[in-house]
Amino acid sequence: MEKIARCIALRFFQGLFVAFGVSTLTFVLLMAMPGDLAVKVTMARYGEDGLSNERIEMVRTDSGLDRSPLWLYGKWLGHTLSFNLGYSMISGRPVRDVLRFHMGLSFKLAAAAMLISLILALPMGIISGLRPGSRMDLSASAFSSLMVSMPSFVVGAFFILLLAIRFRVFPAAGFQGSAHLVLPATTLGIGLCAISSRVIRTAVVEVKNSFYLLFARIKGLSGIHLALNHGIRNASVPVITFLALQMAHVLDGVVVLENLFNWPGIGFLLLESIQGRDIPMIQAVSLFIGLFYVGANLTADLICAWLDPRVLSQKGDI
Amino acid sequence: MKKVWCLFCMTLLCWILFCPSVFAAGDAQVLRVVAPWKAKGVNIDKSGFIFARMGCVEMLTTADRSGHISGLLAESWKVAEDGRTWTFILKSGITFHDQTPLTGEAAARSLKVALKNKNVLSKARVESIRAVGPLSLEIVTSEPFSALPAYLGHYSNGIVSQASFDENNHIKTIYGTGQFKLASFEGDSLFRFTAYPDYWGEPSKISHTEYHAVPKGETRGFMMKAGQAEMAFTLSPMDAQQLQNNNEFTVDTLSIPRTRLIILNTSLPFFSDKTVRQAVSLAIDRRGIATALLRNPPSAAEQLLPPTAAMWHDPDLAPLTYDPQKAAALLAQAGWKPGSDGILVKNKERFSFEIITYAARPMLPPVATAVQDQLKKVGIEMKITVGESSLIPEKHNDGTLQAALVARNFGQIPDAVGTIYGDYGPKPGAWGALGWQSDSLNRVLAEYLATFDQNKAQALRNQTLEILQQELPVIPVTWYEHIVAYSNRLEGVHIDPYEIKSYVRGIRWKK
Repeated sequence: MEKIARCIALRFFQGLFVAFGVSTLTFVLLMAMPGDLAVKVTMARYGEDGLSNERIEMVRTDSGLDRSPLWLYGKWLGHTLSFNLGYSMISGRPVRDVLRFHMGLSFKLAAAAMLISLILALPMGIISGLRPGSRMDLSASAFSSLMVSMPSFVVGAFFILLLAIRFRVFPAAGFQGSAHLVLPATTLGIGLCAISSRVIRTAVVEVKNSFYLLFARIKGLSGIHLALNHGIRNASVPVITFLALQMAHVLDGVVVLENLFNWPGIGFLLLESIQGRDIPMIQAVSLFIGLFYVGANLTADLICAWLDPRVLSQKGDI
Repeated sequence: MKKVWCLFCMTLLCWILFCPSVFAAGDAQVLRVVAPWKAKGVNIDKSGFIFARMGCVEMLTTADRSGHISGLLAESWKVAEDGRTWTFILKSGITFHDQTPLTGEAAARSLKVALKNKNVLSKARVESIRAVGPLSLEIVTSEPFSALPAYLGHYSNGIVSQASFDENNHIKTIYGTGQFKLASFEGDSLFRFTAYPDYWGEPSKISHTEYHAVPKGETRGFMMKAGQAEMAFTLSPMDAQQLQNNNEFTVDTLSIPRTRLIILNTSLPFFSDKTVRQAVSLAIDRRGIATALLRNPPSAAEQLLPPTAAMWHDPDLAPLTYDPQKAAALLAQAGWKPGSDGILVKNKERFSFEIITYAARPMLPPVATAVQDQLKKVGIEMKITVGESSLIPEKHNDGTLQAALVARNFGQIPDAVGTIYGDYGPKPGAWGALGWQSDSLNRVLAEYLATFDQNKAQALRNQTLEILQQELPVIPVTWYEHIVAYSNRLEGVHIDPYEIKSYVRGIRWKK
C-alpha cells in the first residue's frame, strides 16, 4: 500500500513535469512558426472581411503580441500557477469555460465510443481467442482488417446516409442530445473495436496457452473459477493498458469525425485554436491532454497492479 | 447462442426499418438554420453577423436588395450644412428584449463601443457620438462623409440595451430590438431564439429559431436531407445539385457582392505595365470557369461587382472578355516573347509568378487551377500555393506577395465604397491593391464621399468602376454565388444579397 502511495505521488509529479514540458514545447513551437501572429489572431477573431491594419495593430497591443515571447510565456506561466488559464485571444472568453464545454463533449463521445467498442470487442476477442482459427476468429479478423483500413469518415458517411437520411432514425449531426451521440460514437466505437478485439484475442490466446492455466486445470478448478481467477484477470492486464491509451487518443485525435458529425470536441477546439494561433487556448488544451495521458496511464497501472500484484514486485514500481 | 444473436439482429433491423423518426424529427415548430460561420463569443463586434441575420439585433439603417439605404431603428436623419454633423432620429416605441426603451443614450453607447473596437465606423472618420435627446443622437465626422448611413448598417453597429454591457463595456449578454430574442446558447455553435412578443414591427410568424454553426459543407447538406434543418447557407454546387433533385427543398443561387479576384503586385516587373494586366485578364475564360466549375454561368465577373450590387454595377461598362489571341498580341506588344519552354521571356526574365490562395473558401483552389491552365496557354507560368488565408494579408503587408486569389466582400457595408475606398483608395488595406495608386481614382472617391447629390454620386460610382476596369489593379474572375437551400415547408423566403437583413423576416410555415 505504501508502495502504491509513493508511486501515485511520483506519477503526480511526473504528470506535472510532462504537462509543463508539453505546454512549454507547444509555446516554443508556436513562436517559431512563420508568419505574423497578430494577423492570424485578427483574422480568426474578426474573419477575413473584418480584417484591417488598424485592427491588426489593436490586437497586437491588446494581446501583448508586441512584447517579447518571454514576457508572453511568463504571463501564461503566472496565470497557470495561480490556476487561471487566461482568456482566449479570439473570443475573449475565459479559457476554462471554453475548455469545459469542449472537454465535456469529448468525454461523452469517448466514453460512449469506448462502451460500444467494448460491447463488440469483448465477445469478439474472447471467442476468437478461445477458438483461434475458427470461423468466428477468421470473420473477426476480416472485420478488423476492413474497419482498420477504411477511413472513419467513410464509415461515418455511410451511417449518416443509411440511418440519418434514408431511415431518419438518428440525427445526422449536432451535439444537443444523447440521440446525436449515437452515430459518431458508433462510428468511432466500431473503429476502436477493430483494434481492441485483436488485442483482447491475443491476450486470451496467451493466457489460454499458459502453463499456469494448464496447472490450474490439472488441479481440477471449475470453468468459471478458472476463468474469473486466472483467465480474465491475467488477460486483462495488457488489454487495460491498451484501452487507457486508446481512451486518451480518442479524446484528442478524432477531429475528422468531430468535423463530420459537427461534434465540437477537444480536437475541434485544438484545430481551430491552432488555425487562429490562440496561444492561451492551445497551451491549455495541450496541458489538459498531457495531464490526461499521464492520468489515464496511472489509472491503468493501478488497475493492473490490483489485478496482478506481480507488476509491483517485478518493477519495484508501477 | 446463435439463436440469441439472430434474435438481437432481427430486433435491431426491425427497429431501424419500422421505428418512426423518433430522434431525428425534432420540434417541427423550430426553424433551424445551418450556416458555416461559428460565433466568437456572445458579442457584437465579432459575432454580430449571427445576431443580425437571426433577427435578434438591429442597426440604425439597412439596405434594400439594390443597396439603397433606408432607416431601420432610425426614423430619419439629416446632415448639417458643414456636411459633418449628422443627427439621427430614432423610431419611438421600440423596446429592447430586456423591456427597456430604445433611447439616444443606448444607441450612442453601442456605437461608441463599436468605434472603440475599431470597427467600420473608425473608417468613416467619426470623431464623436453622443445622445442629443431622448430619441436622437449626433454623430460628427472629421470631414464630410456621405456614406455614413451605409456604414451604420454594418452588423458591428448593432444596437443593444445598456444592460447588455458590463462595467468595462464588454458585452455580457445580448438584448437587441429584433423580432427574436436570444433564449440560450451552447458553446459558440448553437444559438436558440424565441419570438419577441413586443417587437415594434410586424411580429414574426415563426415562434422559435435555432442557429447551428456547421463548418463542413457536406454536413450542412446531410442535415438538410436528414430533416434536421430548414435552411442551409453556403452550400457547394455539388451539394446544391443533390438538394435540387429532392422535391422537399428549394435551392436559390444568388450572386452577391463578393468577388473572386486576383490581387496583383503591380510593383513587380510583370504587372507594373497596364497592358500586361489587361492581357492577363483577356486570357481568363471566366464563363468557362463559371460554367464548368461553379455550374452557374451568370457568375462570370464581367466587371468588379455583380448586378445585385445595383448601385455599383454599371450595365453600360464594356465587359471584361475572353480573347486569348488579343492577350497574346498585347503581351508581344509589351515585349514578352516565348522562351524555349513556351513561357514568355523579357530581358531574360521568365513570366512566372506565384499565386496564393486558400481552401477555407472551397472553390478558390479549383478556380486557381483553371486560371493556371488558361494563362499557360498564353505563355504565363503561374505557380499555386494553397495556404492559410492569413498568409495573404501577411505577405501583402510586407510586400512579398506576388499575386493572390481571394473572395473579397464588397457588401459588408451596403455602399460598396466602404470596401472600394479601403482597398483601392489612398491607403489600400491588406486585401487591396498592392503597389498601385491612381490619383484620378483617389480624386473621384474623395468627391464621392463628400457629395450628397445622388445624381452626381451615381456618375462618380460609374467613373470609379471604369477606372478599375481599365487599370485592373485586381482582376475580377467570378462573382460569388450564395447558394441557399430551404425546406418547402417554408414560404416567404427572401435571400438578402448583402446578408445584413434577418434570414427569418417574412418567413412562415406553409399551412
